[in-house]
Amino acid sequence: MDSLVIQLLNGLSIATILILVSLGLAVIFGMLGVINLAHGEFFMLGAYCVATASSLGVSPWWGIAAAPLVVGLVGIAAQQTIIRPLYRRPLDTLLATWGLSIVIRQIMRLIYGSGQMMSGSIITGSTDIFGISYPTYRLFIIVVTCAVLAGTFLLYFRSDFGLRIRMVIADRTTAASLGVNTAQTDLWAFAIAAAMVGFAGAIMSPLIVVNPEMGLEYLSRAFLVVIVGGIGHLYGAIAGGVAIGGAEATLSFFLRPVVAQILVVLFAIVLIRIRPQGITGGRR
Amino acid sequence: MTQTQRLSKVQRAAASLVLLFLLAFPLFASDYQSGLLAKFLVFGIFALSLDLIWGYSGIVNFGHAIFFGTGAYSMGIILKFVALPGATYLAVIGGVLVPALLALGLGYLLFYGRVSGVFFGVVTLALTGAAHSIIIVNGGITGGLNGLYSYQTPTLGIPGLWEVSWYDPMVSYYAAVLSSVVCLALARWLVRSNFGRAIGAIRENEVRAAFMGYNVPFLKLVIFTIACGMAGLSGVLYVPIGFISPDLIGVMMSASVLVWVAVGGRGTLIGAFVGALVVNYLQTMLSDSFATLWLLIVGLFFILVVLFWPGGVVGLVQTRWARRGFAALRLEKE
Repeated sequence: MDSLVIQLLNGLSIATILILVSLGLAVIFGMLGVINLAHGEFFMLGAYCVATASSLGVSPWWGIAAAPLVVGLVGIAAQQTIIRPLYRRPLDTLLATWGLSIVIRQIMRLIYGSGQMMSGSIITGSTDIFGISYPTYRLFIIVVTCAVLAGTFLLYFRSDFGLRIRMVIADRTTAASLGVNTAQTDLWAFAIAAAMVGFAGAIMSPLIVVNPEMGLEYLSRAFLVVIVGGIGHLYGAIAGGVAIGGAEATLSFFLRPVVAQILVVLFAIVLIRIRPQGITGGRR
Repeated sequence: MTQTQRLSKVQRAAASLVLLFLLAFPLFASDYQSGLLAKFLVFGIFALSLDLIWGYSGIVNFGHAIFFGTGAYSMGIILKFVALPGATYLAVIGGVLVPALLALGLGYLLFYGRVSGVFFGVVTLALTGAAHSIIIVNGGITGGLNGLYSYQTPTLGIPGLWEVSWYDPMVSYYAAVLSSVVCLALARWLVRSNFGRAIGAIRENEVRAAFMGYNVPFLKLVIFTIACGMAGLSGVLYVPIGFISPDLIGVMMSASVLVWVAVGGRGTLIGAFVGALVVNYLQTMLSDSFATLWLLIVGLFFILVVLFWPGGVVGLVQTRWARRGFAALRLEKE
């Protein structure tokens, strides 16, 4: 019983972070038809914000606060320089952002070296929940992610800005002719997506090893989430996050983590063959 | 993009000169230099196989190194565990067939699952990570992180009668040259055949090609399988020149081959070799201490090529030539 609760919490914590990482990807793809292969590097930049704060002797909380701003600005710069000129060439955007991810990785390596960095732990200790003792920080992540998700849904479905995003996703040309400033909507949506994944990297950093390569792993997992869940919609990211996170947590219980991750990739590919439109497909 | 006309006299002369140069190269170069050139040619074949699917079929494969590495590993594993007189030939066949079959299975799941365009790229990227892990996890067979070693020396010739070691610099060099010519000819024939035209139609507009009655998933599957078999062959040729390590299947290797094709010029076939040569030569020039900076430059250059110069080096030369030819034509009219 206890191990079941731990498994559920583990699955939940993997799923929430995957959802947070994938959400931006899903919206950007739905909106611009652009897949941002530097998304993982944005995650890495967020984590480095916290690691930098720790190494400077400042409270890691400042790093967490700075991450969305820093990464959001990087996102804006990337959107303006290499993504906007390539809107009509989705495959080339894929390549250009891939180039960007190499550049960001190497810049970080030049500045910080290729070694690992540690973010100081922020909340230590564990909390008793459902009769078991679980690390408080992991519970904190689950709660914070749910809050961010709720905020995103409010923004997306209840605000004017969200309405504009949905209009652009539904029909760019019509939205533009109705007076939506699509260029600005694109820019802000991209900036928010970048800030969000930067934040995800920041709050995850105390639990993982921070190094220049870390983005790649999260990138490929985020993509599996988006593809398995269904493309271009918030629900898709959530369904995919739950499916992939759940599968990973369950398999890790029986197998080595590496083997579990391999199996998850294979599972995702077979699922694509059976349900090409993803789990939530049909309600794009 | 596809050049349907025959080679012009100038091009034929240039091709003959290059071939002569390649054949004569070991006569005036050191073993180290011909080894280096052999490596570049092998990478050229690898890039050529990517160009077949990327430049001609519009399939971006972010995990092309999977097939290169599978070729190399299949070769090494067969050499290690099969002790027969003609094991090398068996290893070569295995090194081509295993990646091709892998591509067949994967392509079946993805193409028939209607995964195309950017998503194909993304799925293959995720697979690269998985493939890398598979190599490391099965250390008993693959040697894990240390790489595969202590397999028997591959030999060419007639088993039992006349054998030469593939590790001989001359043998590995000429094997690379010969394979480059054969692969280039095969690729050229393929893209100019009716099959190649159908592939081009799919690249330009998948939906329209389907309406025209082409079996899109099947055609993609065929070209993907052929290209991945060719990538496997380049992996096989790499074995006598380099080490079999998990890096061959890594993300960096997949990224590199994309860069070579982009720089050389996608959709030009010969551009694959030009790109592999140029990038690797520059990389060898810069010492290892600049590795980080070098990768930074490669990344920046890759972005610039994608943004401003999609035809790469060869594409640029071709448009220059085409423009000049067009201008000459107008002059004649006047």
